[in-house]
Amino acid sequence: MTALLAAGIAVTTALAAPPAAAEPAWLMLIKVLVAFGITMTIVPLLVLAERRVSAWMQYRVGPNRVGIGGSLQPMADLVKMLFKEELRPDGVPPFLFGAAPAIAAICSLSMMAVVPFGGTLELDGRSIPLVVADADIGVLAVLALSSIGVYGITLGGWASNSKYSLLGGLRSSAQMISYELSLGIALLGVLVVSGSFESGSFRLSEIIRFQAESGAWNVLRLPLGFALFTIAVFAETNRLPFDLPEAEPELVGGYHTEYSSMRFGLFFLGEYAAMVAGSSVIVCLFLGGWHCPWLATEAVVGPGGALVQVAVFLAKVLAFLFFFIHVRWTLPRLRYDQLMKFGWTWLLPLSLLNLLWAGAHAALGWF
Amino acid sequence: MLSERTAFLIFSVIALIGAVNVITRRHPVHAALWLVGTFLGVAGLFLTLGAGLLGAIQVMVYAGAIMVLFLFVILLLNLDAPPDEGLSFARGASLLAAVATLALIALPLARAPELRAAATPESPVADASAGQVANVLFTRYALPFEVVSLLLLIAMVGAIHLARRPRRDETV
Amino acid sequence: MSLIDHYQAVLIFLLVGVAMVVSPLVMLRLVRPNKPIAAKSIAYECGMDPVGDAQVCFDLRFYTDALIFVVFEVEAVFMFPWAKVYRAFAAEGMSGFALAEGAIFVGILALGLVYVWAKGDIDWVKSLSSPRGVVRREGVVPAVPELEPALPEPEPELEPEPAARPAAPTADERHHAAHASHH
Repeated sequence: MTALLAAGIAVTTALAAPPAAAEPAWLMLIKVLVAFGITMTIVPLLVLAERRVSAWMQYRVGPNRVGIGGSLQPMADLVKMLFKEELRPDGVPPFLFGAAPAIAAICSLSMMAVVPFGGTLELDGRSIPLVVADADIGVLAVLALSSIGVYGITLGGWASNSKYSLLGGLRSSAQMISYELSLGIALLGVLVVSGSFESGSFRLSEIIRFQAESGAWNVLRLPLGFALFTIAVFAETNRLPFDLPEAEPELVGGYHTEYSSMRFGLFFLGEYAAMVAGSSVIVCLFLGGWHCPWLATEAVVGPGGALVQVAVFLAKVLAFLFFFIHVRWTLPRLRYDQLMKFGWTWLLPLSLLNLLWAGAHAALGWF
Repeated sequence: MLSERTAFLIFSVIALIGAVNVITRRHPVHAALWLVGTFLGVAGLFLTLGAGLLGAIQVMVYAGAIMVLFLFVILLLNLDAPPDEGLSFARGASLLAAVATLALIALPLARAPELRAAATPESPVADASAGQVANVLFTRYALPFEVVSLLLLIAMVGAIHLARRPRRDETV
Repeated sequence: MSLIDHYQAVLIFLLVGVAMVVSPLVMLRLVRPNKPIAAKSIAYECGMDPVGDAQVCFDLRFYTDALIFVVFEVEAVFMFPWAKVYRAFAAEGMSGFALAEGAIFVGILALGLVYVWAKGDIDWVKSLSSPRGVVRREGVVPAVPELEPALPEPEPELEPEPAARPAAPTADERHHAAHASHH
């Protein structure tokens, strides 16, 4: 695994030999590895936290045997998954069956590419934006990736040749597309209110910078938009109360019923990586990203300031992830008709309303 | 460095492989998935031409929305791989249409070298960034923009109506 | 810095991601046990042998939803450039114009939402339970008469009506009431 990873990195480095005016490849690579490192560190922590917090909320102990306080439990789970037999039901297209979890995982992991985990680092006269790709479509890439991620789940359900899987996959795709709309339209509100006065921007880094410079996070401008976006992210990541696609009592495991071993592990990874990416995007769009009053206010900083920024950003993301977990173990699951009805008749009209509110907010030139 | 030409080549190959597979796969679901691949390749082409917004739209609307609808329709009708019917009339006609289309594209390109020059990735056609698109769309083409929403409305109502009709005719 | 350079980073990111995702799948195939027996490759149906193929027809409502989704997704896409230049328009004192433009666009499409809402097309249950609407589609699905567990059956116990109950409920009804309060 490490050998292949190293090979992959070597190939990408070769591909990315120094572009003329852009960043050197090694810098790009470091940023890629940091972004992956952040995700891959948070995901096991999150899995552990999910189990420990749920135990705490239900007055149980939770996993506490492997490592100190169960801290190595995710590693044990990973090892178990890696060494399990891979099962595949009869009459299943092998390639699609194998590709589905990979699509789901890759799409969720890649979302972190456009998330800035800090402002701009000034080092040796070089200014390094702390984001892997400061692309001009920025946050649209997240939407695009999440719309591709739907295929992972739909295909996983369809290719399994199992009724539970098919129903889970279908439910999931219908749910994800319904809530993706509200996600996109709630996002529009953010784009309208933030950004410099000359023109708005899809870049998350500029949206954060705007919040830092104006000193007010977007959640104050668009409280409704924040609520809508958060709800939509919950639905997009198939989290309770919207985890209908894998509702255990009705659908066994939903789209991943037939998956075992590392293929299941990839679905699992994808789901948690999507949570991390979703929280990061929410933090960037609405909660000021790396900005913290009196602590991290400057967009362009030295190494010390950059560390503070990254720490602030991670703290916010982790806090939001705790909220994710807390909600999961607090709310009951919706019924499917309630879910669809809520998405179309509440979330969508409200997000349109939020867009008008954002327009009025920007037009009247409030803070 | 990954030059624009290399990127263009990679994405074109992706799009073409996808396109060929769309028409050669017998199973409709597989064909639809290859079409998604083609759309992704085309989105990549938009990116190399400096039109990030168009690329994102390509992925979101075509790959993310329309193809999901296609997949739903395929699954709804439970289409399976059709039997090989040999050279039927429909096949002959589509072959003819394909050749005609190819000729329509190829002949002008062969005749006029300046068209060929314009098609290379070194000279992007126009600055199609989101700002540029918007500045034109919301001033000069404001009325067409609004008419588009009417068109979309009509399309939606019509399609929903057609989708609904069979239900009424049936009885429990 | 040209556009492609940004996406180059995305490409590296994607490739590293693919490597990370695919490598455990491929490499560990060598150490994984592989002892296939017939029972292992049966699709899971709670211990029952599966009946028929799983690739069956499914409900029309998914199609309706996807259709509405496509239209609104196109709308959202049109609004992205709008959101992008909105600030610029506002800076030139044209915010009213831009807002009206966007509001009309969204408003016209919202009419579509109102239409499907009023007609019950986004109502997941109505199409099945209304007296006229009718969706046991025998004509369409001959082999597998119904596969619609996505349909949530309304649970009668969920809404007990104590007022309507007789003074002395039968044992069965007591059971139901207890069940309901348990919910």
